[in-house]
Amino acid sequence: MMIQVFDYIAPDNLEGVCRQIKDSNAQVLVGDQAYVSLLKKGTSHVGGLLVSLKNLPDLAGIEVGRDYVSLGVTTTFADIKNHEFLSTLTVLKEALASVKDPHLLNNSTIGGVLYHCHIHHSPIAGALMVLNAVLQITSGENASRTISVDEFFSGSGVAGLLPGELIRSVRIPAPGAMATSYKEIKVLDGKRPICGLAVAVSRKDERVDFIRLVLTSCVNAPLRLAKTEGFLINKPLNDKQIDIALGLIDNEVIVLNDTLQVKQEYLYHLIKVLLRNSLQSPQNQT
Amino acid sequence: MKLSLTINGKTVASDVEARDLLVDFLREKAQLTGTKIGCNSGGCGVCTVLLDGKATKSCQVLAVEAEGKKITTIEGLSSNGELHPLQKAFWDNFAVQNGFSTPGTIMSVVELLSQNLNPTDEEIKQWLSGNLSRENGYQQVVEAVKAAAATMRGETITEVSEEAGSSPLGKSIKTRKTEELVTGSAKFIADMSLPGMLHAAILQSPHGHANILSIDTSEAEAMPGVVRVFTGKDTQQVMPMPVIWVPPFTESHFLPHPSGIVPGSHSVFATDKVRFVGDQLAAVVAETRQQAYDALEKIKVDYEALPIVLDAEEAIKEGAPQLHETAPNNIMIHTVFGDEEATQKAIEESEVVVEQRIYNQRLMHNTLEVRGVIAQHDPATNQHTIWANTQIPYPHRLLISGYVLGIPYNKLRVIVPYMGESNGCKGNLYPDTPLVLWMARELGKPVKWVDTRAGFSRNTAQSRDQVQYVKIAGTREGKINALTCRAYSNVGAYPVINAPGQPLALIGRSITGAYVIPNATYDISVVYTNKVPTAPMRGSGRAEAIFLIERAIERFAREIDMDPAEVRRLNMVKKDQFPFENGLGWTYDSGDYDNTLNIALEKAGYDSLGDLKKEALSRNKLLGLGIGSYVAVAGVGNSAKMGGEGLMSGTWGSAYIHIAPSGEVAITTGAQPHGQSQDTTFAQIAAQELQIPMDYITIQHSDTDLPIYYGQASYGSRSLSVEGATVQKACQMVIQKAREMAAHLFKMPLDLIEYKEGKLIGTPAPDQAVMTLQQIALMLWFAWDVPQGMAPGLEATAYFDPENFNFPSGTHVAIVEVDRDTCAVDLVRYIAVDDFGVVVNPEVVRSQTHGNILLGISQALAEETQYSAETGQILSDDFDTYSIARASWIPELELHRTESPSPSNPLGAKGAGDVSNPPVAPAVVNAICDALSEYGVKHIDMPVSPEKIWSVMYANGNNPQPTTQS
Repeated sequence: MMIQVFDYIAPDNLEGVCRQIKDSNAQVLVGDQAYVSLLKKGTSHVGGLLVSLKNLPDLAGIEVGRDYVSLGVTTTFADIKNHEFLSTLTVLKEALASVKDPHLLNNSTIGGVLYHCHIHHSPIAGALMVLNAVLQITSGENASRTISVDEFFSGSGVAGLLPGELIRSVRIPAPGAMATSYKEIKVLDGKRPICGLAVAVSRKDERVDFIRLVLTSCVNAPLRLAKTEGFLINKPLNDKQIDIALGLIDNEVIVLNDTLQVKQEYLYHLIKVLLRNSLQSPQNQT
Repeated sequence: MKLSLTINGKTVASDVEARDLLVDFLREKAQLTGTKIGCNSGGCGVCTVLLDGKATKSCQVLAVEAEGKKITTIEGLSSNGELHPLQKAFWDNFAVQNGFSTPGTIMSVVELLSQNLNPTDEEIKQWLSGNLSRENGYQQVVEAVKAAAATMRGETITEVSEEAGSSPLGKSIKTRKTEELVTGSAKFIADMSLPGMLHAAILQSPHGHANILSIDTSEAEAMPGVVRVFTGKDTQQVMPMPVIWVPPFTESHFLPHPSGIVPGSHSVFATDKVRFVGDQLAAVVAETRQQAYDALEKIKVDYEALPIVLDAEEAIKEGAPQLHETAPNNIMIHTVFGDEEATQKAIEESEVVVEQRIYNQRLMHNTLEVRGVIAQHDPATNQHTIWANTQIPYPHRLLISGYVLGIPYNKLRVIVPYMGESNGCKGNLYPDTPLVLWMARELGKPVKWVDTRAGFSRNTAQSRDQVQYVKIAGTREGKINALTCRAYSNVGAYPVINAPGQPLALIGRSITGAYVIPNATYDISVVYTNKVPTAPMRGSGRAEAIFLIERAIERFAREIDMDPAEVRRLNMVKKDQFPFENGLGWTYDSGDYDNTLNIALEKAGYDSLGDLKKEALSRNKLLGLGIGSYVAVAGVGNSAKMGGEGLMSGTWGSAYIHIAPSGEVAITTGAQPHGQSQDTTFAQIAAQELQIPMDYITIQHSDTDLPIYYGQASYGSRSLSVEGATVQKACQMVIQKAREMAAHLFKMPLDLIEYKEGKLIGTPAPDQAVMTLQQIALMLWFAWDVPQGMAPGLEATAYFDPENFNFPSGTHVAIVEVDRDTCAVDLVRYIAVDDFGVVVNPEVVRSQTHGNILLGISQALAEETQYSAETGQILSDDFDTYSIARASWIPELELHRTESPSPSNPLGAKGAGDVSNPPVAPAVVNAICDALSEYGVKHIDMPVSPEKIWSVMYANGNNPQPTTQS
């Protein structure tokens, strides 16, 4: 639990940050407390230089547009939770509600979700994925690109960023007519969740025309239940179809988080419980 | 680099390393030690401060990231000398015991109340999900937060004033030495420093069992700031830890000790072999703690890994890895309590026999405060001094001086600073403690060692870990005739100083619980394994015994299809049977066991259980009700009886009282408080006896240089009934001396001298012949005119060695709901009816009871020490991997008391500190098994996780698919 020696810098401009993190031995500190845990456990080796974003206040903002919300990378959970825009994004609201510890709310950031994706970040990551959020990535000097949260997590995650690239913000499109929800199972209240499910669904003529199911917490990164999603498209959300969908869970490729120390059979059972409860919930039925 | 920030309104600037944590900056650079370090991983919340007004765990923030920010610590909370309403409310509502977690908890809820001045219980509990309390639970904390909120809303709180002149006994008088705890000014061991002090770090084995081939310290010695590196080569003259509990009635296999007087245990450093992952191999002493730990990583050790054995039943098999040459088949002790032949015969003749294997899992005490030691040696006087957070300062003095370091007893002083909770683990003598003193002497400078959380998990004793094969037998009408238990206690790699106490007497003589069982035997094998050594833990021994009998009686009742409450009632010791010999060595003193059972069932609505179950099922929940009735031996001890068990120590109480010429009273007690509030309750006893205000009375402890012969310390719910009774006796002795002095001065016969309201009164002339206790003290100090043979000074030394233990008792009821889909357990109600005899301070006892119940719930549902089967490494070495009950798990605890005075001591008191833990886990597990009874579930081992529930439901052929909800 003793932290190794490293150097530290906190540039006051974005270009300075991107320049510093071009060095493969540099890592970025996005204002999230989870990084300290990684340092203590020795699972994150800064290898010489830690580049902090704390002197870039512009990265901590919430911008509400006509059809989107943009969250800066160092925006805290508490800031999001207290912002009025949240009422329009049920899944994000419910995901944030699952984080109880005020320290985590005050000291976890959107960047933490993307760079670390610890267990308490996982619900937020799932919410961003079902909302089809898009990452704004910069490498300084006005160079930027975008990538969806879905692609980010289903790909290499933060390891897929190029040297000198920094995730600057997350843009969440307005959900429109989609119903969204986040539900999770904790074996004991106050303990970390052992699995969660973020859902977005919309229907046309009583049939599903869009659905996204994202599994969280029991996996290392949020995971779409693609086969189940595929099955439910164009189906009515009735008990019969839901029963069939539950059976498809066994066919999903799910690499479970091995730190949970829970039997796979039980986890699959819980995933089915979550799926049923989510799809049957009034908010997803209307 | 330079760091500047604002702390409590003042600018603080200092050089820091990039890796320094905010908590270290606050404690070491700003000298604000009210912010504590507990788990150091963001799990416990004792380091919580406000960062720009936001609750933040300062162990999870790099100090450099706080540059320019505003920080508020507990020291900055009060203003103009007035406590913050939260600080006041925590004190007023008895939400503070040892106080280690208090500053962090208060700081956390400061933010809550800044947002919401009318929080509900549920909102407070959820907010506290990141703050652990291991000592007194959460209920009084919630009450305190609500009280503070009311004050901050401007509501007037009416303080209940005690009736003037009324007896202080039985009143919830506010606890002493609490202001220091709520303001963060109390100094715990980690908060202390001495001039010129060095810092130590100790290397632990990464292997559960291995030969040590070589140790290379050269690189470590060359690291910055390193003063010296020590290994076993340096400590050959240091003797191993002694064992002071040797049962005389059976053969035992301890390790040799050079003294030849007592057996031995482990050495300060392993030299040839490591036997568990906490075995110590080397220590670095450096100028700073960081330097010591940096250098520790540079020590290179070559090991030859050996096969390990972690399971007690496996360890005794032929061919199992052997830990010690002196213990064939790894057996430390094997013995049997009770009449085996008669019990076997009774079982054979019984109509019904029920068998059950039970595993009472291994727990970690996991005090939020880890252990630590500061030691110094003055070569000029040869005076050795230890400051340590130990429950047993006097035994430390005796054992370290005589059996470990070989130094004069009178040249060793042990001081206990404010101490975080112990739960029993700080009642042991660990090799690190004499090692730190020895290193300080070698180096000629004070040395400080404070453990890490991960280190604590490997070197601090753990507890429980017993496999029990239980048979209970009786008639179809519910009468129990016999009980047997064949048990295997896993005590780890070495015996601790009192190793046999828990698995032998405390369990073995307690297994019949609250019942008349005419034939009972306990066959126990105490076994060495490659696990961390075990020691008593809150509820020690009684917890394993009561779990056993309460599960057994439940299984028996269900087997004969009788109401479990009725079977209990049928077999309980009756009110007119006291004193009652339980057949295994205990003589129960008093009680009304039926009464506590009946009250608990009535409060729980037992008669409407069927309706409750139906209603729950309509919500897809399986409701169950579980009973835990108990009797728990307390009040150690009777010295002769404890000697008979093998304890090589007296267990009497001791107190020294002196009344100064000023009239001020100082009482030194043999108790060692660590959250039990003896400063308050003992002063209440003395105030009652001396009939003077409590303010005149000071209670002293925690320093072996205080004027007392020896202190037998606080453990096993003994303090009030033994040490408290001794305080009472000491007061009576000075009153007697004062009366004799008054009789002499008044020239009246002794029987005409009355003592009343702090005055000595000659009853024939009450207006003229009257002196205050202070005046008598002054006259005895002058000693100008004292009776012949009377010594000067108003003082006395008292001892009290009770003829018997005392036996608190009661019944707890748990009501749970198991979700049919997730199998998650929700504890919805908890009712406790306890009989602690005469209670001196009800809120203090309530607080203790909350702590006991919290631990029991935590054991039943969550706690278990996890080991790697391959390496013996501990996998649950932080609060993410070792679950401890949090506020939101616990429903409002419904506490009730009855009062059956104990005849074992003049106060009529019974133990309360840990005795109400034993019924908790069985009540919860019984409730879960009741909920699952329709699924054919008869038993589930603790911790009862939802996964285990799901597994047993599935194993019984039930549908594992989620139920359809409509």
